[in-house]
Amino acid sequence: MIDVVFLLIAFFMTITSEITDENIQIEIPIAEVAQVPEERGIRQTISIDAVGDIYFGSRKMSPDDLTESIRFALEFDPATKVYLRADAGTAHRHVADVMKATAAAGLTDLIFATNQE
Amino acid sequence: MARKRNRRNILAQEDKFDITAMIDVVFLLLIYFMFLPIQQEADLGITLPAEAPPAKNLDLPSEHLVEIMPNGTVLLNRQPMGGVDSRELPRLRDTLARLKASSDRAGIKTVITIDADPDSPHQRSIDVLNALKEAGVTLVSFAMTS
Repeated sequence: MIDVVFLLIAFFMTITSEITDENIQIEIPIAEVAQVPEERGIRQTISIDAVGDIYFGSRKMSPDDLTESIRFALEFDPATKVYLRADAGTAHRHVADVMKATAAAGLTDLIFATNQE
Repeated sequence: MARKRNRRNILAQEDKFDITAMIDVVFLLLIYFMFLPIQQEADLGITLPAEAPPAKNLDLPSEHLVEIMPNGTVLLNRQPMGGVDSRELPRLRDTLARLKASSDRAGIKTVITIDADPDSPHQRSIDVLNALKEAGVTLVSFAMTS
């Protein structure tokens, strides 16, 4: 039975790193005055890693597909916000691509992910 | 007869199963997953301008341009505001706070446009947003080169 439990541990450790979109390897930029929100609301997470790959949730996609996905999310809920987790070292052009893609979908509420220290 | 009793004893022993070790492991797991997401990510929100026709009789805002160079140098209205070696941008923050205070007295809005070079690191944009927030500036837009 202990064997089974250890197997479960191993399973969940692998699965959580697979499915959680916050586990894409990203070094979040630092902003001292940013605040941890009390109400997070409905958010779609977009991640940009150091080399500029774009992920919507945990799925890798191109800026054009991103526009479609955001448009779909906005149809479902017009109050959708986008949470942009971009690596501190990624070039601004990738961030600009995502901003363009989200603006094309009609999204206005964009949040940059930061750490306070 | 003796053989039968022996067998019954063995069965009785197998009925008792020690779950102490399993409970230990489960508590360990519980503690592990409770402390896993200990660092919460914070927000730095901006409102993107929507594509809409401008309203008439609009008070012209006081507009300022913040540029970010590929090496990370920050310019405010073409004046250098901070080097590449430090994340803090005290000159940018203080100058913007002064500009904002004077526009607030005149009753006009302060609008900042950030023009970041495509090759500049994202951390620099966040540093600028951080300084803008410290200066109390809330109207920010990003310049886009297509």
